[in-house]
Amino acid sequence: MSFGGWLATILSQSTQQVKVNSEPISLNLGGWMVMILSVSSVLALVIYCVYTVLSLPSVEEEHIKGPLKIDTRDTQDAD
Amino acid sequence: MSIGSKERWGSRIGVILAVAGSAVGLGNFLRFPGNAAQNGGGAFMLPYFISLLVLGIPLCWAEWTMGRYAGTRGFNSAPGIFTVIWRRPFAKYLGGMALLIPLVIYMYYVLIEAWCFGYALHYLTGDMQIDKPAIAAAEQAGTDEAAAKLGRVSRFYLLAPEFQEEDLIKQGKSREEARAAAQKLRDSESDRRAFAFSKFFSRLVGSEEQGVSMQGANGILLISLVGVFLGNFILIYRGVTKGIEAFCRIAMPLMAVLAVIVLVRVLTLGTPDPSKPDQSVMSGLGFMWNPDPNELLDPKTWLAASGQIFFSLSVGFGIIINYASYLRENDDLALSGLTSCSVNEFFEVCLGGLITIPAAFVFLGLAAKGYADSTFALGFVALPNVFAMMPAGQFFGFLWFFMLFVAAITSSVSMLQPVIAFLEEGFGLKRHASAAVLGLISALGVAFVMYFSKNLVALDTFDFWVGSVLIFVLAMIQAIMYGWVFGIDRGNAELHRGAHIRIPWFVQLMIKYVVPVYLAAIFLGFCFLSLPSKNTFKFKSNADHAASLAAGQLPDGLYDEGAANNTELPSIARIEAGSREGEWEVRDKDNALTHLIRRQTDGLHVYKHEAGYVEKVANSPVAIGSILFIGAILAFLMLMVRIAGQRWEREGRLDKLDS
Repeated sequence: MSFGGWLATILSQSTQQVKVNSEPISLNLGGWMVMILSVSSVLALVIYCVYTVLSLPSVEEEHIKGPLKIDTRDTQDAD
Repeated sequence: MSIGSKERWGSRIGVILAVAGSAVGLGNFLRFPGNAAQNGGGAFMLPYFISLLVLGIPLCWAEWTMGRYAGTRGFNSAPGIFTVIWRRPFAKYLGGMALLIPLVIYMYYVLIEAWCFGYALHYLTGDMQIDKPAIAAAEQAGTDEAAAKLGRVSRFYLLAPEFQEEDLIKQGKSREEARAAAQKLRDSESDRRAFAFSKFFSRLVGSEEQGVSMQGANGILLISLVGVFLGNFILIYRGVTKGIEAFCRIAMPLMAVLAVIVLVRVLTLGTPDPSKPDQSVMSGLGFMWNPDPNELLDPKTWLAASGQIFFSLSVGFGIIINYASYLRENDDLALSGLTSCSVNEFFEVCLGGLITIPAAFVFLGLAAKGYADSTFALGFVALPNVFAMMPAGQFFGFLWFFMLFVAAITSSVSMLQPVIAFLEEGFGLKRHASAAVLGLISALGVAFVMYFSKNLVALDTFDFWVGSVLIFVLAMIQAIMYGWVFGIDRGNAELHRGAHIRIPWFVQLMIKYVVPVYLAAIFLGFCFLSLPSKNTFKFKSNADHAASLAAGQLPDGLYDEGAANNTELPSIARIEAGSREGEWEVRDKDNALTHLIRRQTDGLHVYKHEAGYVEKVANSPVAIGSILFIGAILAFLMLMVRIAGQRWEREGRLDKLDS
């Protein structure tokens, strides 16, 4: 729903209760499994990637033939 | 190999954080949880991860590869990059689309960024709490001066019934109906709170009238907008390394720390109101994560999951391709691309998925579901309401909105760089000149979106046509360019030059064959769901009502039957003959078509009419104006691309590519 449409609805009908299923909800076994699997797989991926990146030699060492300290001259060349 | 641009990323982690910063934004914290909760909860994650593996990560690698390839051949702007990859005169115009997209998105995104900053400032000034003792005192005093001393949200809470009555009368309801609704609001604490925060937001963004957000009374927003606009341009002026990279190296860890603090607060809320034991953290997590496997059979779930991945990773925005062009020839692409995607997923699944919906559920209960289908409603109305009820909520509200602001600024700054690169590369402008030209164009667009603020139609139109439709088109062009023009053999070799991880060969086959088909399917599904209008059958009624309808009146009996079938017919309705015999259109006070009634053999069938995007645009002069504005920007950019192309030919830069 676009925001405009949503806002028009909520402002004009703000006294109406949202009609939704009123059964109580609790985190069930399926919810636990999906949540743990999703969060842990993303965490594992990000930890592996970031650890690998940070444990690599720096870019300067990899490009040893290039200048050791790269001056981008960003601001000097600005004008 | 010649290197045209002097700008290069300073470190490996710097470029990763910059690309991830570009991708992490409001969508991670607000759009993703809303989408998941609406589409099967935990079941949503299956199509979500499939889309990530099949569509998201491969497309990212394709953009990284083409960007670095062209960057090492002296081109950083999209028209130049596209020309390097596809040696045809029209390629540079396709690249022009990769300038239009970030530029137009910036025009409204910077405004949203200013909202976030404005909210954070309002939290600092104590404007965002519902101060019950002060409200009671003001109510007792009964004077305007007493009300004026209250903070903004408290004032809206105090005056909510009066505002409600005024609004409903403006909408054409009778005075009695409006009074009854106001009284109902007065009696309902939760509705009154929701109204106060809705009012605060609509006043801040100016969605009630055109141009009101630009007035002096909206001082905090104006100050925020000027501040974030200048902040973005200062970062861009400082350049890729000293501006974007330096900022992202601080901003990304800061964002993670702020989000983790809010996450810990949310997960330790327990059951804040003992009288409502069903509103606990565990039930909030259940609301978000419990899988509904039936939803997997609904194509809309797959479409929503693919769209979420697509929008979240910033593919098809023209940003990654530009950022990657500042890499050196032997810099790693494979691991860097994967890391930036995984950082984005961390913010989305591990933080966004555990904070927003559970927090909203704990305090709002099942009513939180009513907010989940609108990113803005969830972020700017439901969550402030939640923070107002939370212990130390003012502090956590400030942290949350400041974190959203930081997330927004890392994204908005990335939208400026592709155009800055083009102005410098295509016209030889120095940084101050290119920043000034871009500042002028983008300020014009921001003013347009800000002025036409009623119901946020201009913002919605920009977001739909550019932030949704055009990025699909550009992603499709890039997938075809990589798979069929650049070639997957060359792509694979280029991707693995300097790579620290090996990417299996089948990924290349996926980019060539699966990604374009997958993208086309999502795009067609998206168009099918969004563009045409729909009539949904609601209930069957007695054919006796046909006489009243033919006389141009909506009979009371239909209202009663509608209410019994959960269908609200407009209180002020106009009946018009439909396009075919035995059909009537029900229009509201604004002449908008809301319901269709058709005579069938077994009685009258009542349908709810949902206007599709085409119909909405056709009925809205502001939407048409917004599309024309986008068209004018596109024409201007294409003219500039043409001039830049002629300049490159004159300088012989394109000949060097062939030699």
